[in-house]
Amino acid sequence: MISIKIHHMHGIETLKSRIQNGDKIVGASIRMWASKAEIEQTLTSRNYDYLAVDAQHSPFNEENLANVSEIGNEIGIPIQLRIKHTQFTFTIGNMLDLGPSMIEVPQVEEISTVIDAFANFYYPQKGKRSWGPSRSPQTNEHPKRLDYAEWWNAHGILWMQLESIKAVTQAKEFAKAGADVLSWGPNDLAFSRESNLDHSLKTDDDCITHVLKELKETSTKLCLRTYGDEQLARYEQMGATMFLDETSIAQAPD
Amino acid sequence: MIEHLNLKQRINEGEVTIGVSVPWDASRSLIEDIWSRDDSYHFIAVDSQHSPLVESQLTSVFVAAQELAIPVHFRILHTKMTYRIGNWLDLGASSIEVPQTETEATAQEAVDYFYYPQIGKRSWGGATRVGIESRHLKFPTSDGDRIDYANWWNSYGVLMLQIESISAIENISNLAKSGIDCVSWGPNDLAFDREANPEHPLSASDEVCVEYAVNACNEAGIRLMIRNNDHSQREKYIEMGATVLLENPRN
Repeated sequence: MISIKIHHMHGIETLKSRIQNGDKIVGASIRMWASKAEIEQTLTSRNYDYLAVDAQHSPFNEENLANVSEIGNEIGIPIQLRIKHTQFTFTIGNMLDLGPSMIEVPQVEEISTVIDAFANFYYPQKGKRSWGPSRSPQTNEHPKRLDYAEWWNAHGILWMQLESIKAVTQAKEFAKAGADVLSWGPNDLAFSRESNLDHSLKTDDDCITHVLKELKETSTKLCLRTYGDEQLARYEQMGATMFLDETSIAQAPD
Repeated sequence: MIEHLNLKQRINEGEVTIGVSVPWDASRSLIEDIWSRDDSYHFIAVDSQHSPLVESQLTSVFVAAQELAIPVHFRILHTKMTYRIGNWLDLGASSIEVPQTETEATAQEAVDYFYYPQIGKRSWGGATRVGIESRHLKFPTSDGDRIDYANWWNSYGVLMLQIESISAIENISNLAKSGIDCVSWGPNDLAFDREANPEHPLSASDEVCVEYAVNACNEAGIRLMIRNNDHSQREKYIEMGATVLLENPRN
């Protein structure tokens, strides 16, 4: 059994650079209302690099997000939040103030969504996130406004979820617009492939290969949701470096 | 899947269908109690337009009702939130009502987010969706299981638009997009609108409006739901042509 990783340094201090360097990164989905004991149980099964909670397909309340983020920040493991809806990018700053380190925007179709998410994710002068009492990670380490803004702007991690042929073919543009991570939505993407039967990207693997190729010259990485080590190993062989393990929750993640 | 509870089919066929409201924070035992008071009920209804919306509590109502094989009708928070219909369906509703619908754009967006592809664009996911089985929760879901559930949902879920103004009533034929099953009645907001338009022929009475709406619904091939409130009012509205009723729990 793996012992619980007690981070002497919060994982968010190095996660962004590790992602950009192409290190192997593995996270796990947990329920937003998970207790500290349940989270610690998840962390005993593997040395996960981050934990992810979902608002899109699960009941959401801000108190649960604040609680789970507080537990994550106490342990030193970054929390990723998939927000409720593509059209909620304007609330990203509000969500970040509750404590997550990463935001995933579902069903991104337009470059304007990435631009709006970016603006709301970063503090000035990079973005326009509002300054206020925040439960964001490492605030105690950087109590001064400008110090924390600079730290956040260098460490926060912004995800866009690709769930259609249209999105897959814009991967490079989304990366250029500021997405650190492009994540995968294979079920909605399957609906999209079924409505675009004549498109050259015929299979899920075709789409993954296309995105990996498009991201090759960028620091943006593709994150694939996985259901078991076998699938993770297969994606790793295809060239992916980042994964989100869905085995610990009994729900379809996207 | 709950094949024996085809609420949509029942409504579309014009069978008299009766729902009963339950509180937003109803427990399973309260739902059972309310449901047991009349064996004519076909669904329960929860409201978020004029009641607190707490998604964890809403999910509890949906899950309890599913355990009792009762479909839940859910009125969403606001007419501008049709894009969130999929999020709420993912928690377990069987039926959605959009309040204060005025425009065709609202009707079309409701359809888009209510139905799965290739009819709409609802996103796949949600562990407490109505009718879900473990095979649908595998990740990634197999193409067959995903399409199977999507097609089932597209022939099961009920979509209603609440019409609460004279212009909305006169626009029923255009609001009745493919995929809209019903329009529902909002007599109080409609009364405000009639008071603002005293010279309009439909301002004569609520009954005149209902008669107009029944005819418009029949021509459009959809149904009318009336909030009759008390069970003693059932016959009145059925005689006027409404086939779906929503009332308060019997004492």
